[in-house]
Amino acid sequence: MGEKVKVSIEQIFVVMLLSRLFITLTDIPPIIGSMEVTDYLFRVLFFILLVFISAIPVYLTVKNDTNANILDRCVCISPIFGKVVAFIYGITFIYVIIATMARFDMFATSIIFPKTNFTGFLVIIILACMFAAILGIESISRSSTFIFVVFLVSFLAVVFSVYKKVDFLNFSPIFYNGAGSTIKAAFISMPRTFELAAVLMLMSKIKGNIKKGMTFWIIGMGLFQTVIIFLMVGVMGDYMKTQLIPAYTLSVVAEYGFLQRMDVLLTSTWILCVYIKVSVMIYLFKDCMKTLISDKYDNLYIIVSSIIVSVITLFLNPKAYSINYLLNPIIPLVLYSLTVIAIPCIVLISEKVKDVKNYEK
Amino acid sequence: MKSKLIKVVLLLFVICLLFTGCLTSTLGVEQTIVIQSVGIDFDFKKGEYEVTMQCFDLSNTSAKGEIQGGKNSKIITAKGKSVEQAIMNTSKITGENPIYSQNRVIILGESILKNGIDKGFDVFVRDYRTRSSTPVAVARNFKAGDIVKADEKGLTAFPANTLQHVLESGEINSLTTEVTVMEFVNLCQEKTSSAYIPALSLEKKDDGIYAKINGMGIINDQKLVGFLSSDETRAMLWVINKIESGTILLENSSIGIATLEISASKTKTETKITKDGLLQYNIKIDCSLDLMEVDFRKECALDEKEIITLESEASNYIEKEVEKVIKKCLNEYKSDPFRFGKRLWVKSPESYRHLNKEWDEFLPNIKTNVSAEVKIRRVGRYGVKE
Repeated sequence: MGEKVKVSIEQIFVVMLLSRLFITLTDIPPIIGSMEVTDYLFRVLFFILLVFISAIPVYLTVKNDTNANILDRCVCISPIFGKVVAFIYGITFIYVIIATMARFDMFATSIIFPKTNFTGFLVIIILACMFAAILGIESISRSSTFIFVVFLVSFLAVVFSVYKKVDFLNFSPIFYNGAGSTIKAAFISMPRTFELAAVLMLMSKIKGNIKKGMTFWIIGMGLFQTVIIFLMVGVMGDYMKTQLIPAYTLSVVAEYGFLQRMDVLLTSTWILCVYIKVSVMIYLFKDCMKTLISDKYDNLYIIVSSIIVSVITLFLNPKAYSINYLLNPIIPLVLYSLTVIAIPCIVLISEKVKDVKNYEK
Repeated sequence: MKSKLIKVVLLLFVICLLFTGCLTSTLGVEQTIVIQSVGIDFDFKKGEYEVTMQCFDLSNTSAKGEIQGGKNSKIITAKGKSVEQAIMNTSKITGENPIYSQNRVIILGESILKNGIDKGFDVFVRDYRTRSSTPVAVARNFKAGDIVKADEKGLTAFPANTLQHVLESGEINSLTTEVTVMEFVNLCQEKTSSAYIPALSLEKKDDGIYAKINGMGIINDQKLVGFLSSDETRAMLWVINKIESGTILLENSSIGIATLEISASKTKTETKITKDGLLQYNIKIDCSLDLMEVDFRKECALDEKEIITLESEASNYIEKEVEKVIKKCLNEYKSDPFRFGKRLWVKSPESYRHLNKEWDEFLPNIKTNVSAEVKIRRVGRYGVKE
């Protein structure tokens, strides 16, 4: 049950940050009601608040025991329940991979390679992620530390070159058309934070204070989002509403002296964020399959999952409606509610009941 | 050792797959038109867009990057029912694929702006191949195509580069300001604000016809409503705090004809709602000037008193110019390039809610209070009295 401690909380914090940042950077501003530009900044505040609230079951699960991951604890309650949970988590991680690839495909075919058939490149990325997942979470977290440094440098370069272009007149009054649309938008963003489910799966492999790490991660994620949206609103104003991926447009206008193509610098690191996210999810899928089927075939699950994801990606690629379907907020909301809120709550209640029964005996 | 070698070979193979161009793989550089500047006009009779493009002539450059035989650019004109169609129609004549990403300037004809900016400009906002940082200008009294075809006077490699530098010259003379696609669309998107756009005209000289900056075009409700002269443009830039440099010529100053260079300028605009419910904007300009040249009147020299008088004259000059341009925009053009409406929105959203629907009608009722504080920092040595 208890697995050997392998990865430090700092490394996991970096992995989760990079994984979520890709979603933040390729965020498409929601067309909800009549949100004004400054409301996007407040959406982050509500988003962080919602993530903190929804993470309470995860906090409690981590507080009770970190020697076994969520699946092991479910198996202890009931082997069948353990398999059902493993199936739900497995489906969730596969969904996250496909949704990430769909999002990346949409971003790349709209901006990086508009006229190129991108399918081959997507498959190459999945294969690279498969290789990383075979090497294990230690190697993924080690490479993420390096990627984080590269990302931070490119991000700071963009921030440095655009901060002078911020015009405070581009900001709008707060909640001019009410706060309803902003809260709704935050509610749509929240279930895209599947990294919390990853924490439940990885907790037995993490060395350090997980609760503290999670708090730092949520605050760090909020800070990054705040800086990005502050710059987007300050520099672009209402123009950001006309753009598919405003964070990319921000990198396009980030010109400093002879350095005129900062977008290339930033987008190259975004690909690395995708690599980290997909690698971790494939790795976690493998853990789910180990509980669901058998412990024997460690790498086979990784290879099979990569093939499944590649096939689905190939199938979905030309169909824009499928991508829209995948990015639909209902599916992530259901999966998020199950994996981050419902299952940890069931585990906590079951363990409590078991403890009370044992005490009574 | 052997497995390592295989891994390296495999890795090299994968890397080779990633070395792709930014366009379809079937087209090489020789089949690509690199657009340097675009001019768009609208033919009302035919209902067609006429797009004139200045393109980088790859056939006229050597492998070493040297330009052979003088000109390194070609002019291509095409027509179409939409701007995108017109641009792609160039392939009918050239057989080459046009790319926008290196475009330096977009020039819109008056015909486009009179027809409404929502038509004919959408391609530069929606199309992923265009860049939001590209400067935009309007052709004043000429067709946009003529501006693109103009000869170059600057010392740059491409005529389009000269056009780009002309539009950026506001940093030197404050007679214009660079407006990018992003800034232009942002202003057009704001409910109460009017957009401004640098105007370019042609000037005929002995050795050719050259493009020059000629004030600003004012766009209200997506349509061109009028132009500002170069001096009016500078006054407008004072209000919107975009003055960076430039000179002021005081022809009738107390000491004679004085030329002063702006070394620094900062404008603060305060929004106030008066007791009688009217809007008042207090515009405070702090300006530092250097005396660069004086054509003294007879028996006149610079002393402390004269410098204070000169400061006061410069201050009056700025105030009058600014008041004049505000009056012209608010009363004559019924436009708000100063973003007064946006300022009201930020300061008092409720007042804005009442006024924003009839903002254009309300504009002449706006009160402004302009005050300029001028400090002359340097006067030189010649002609200075103790």
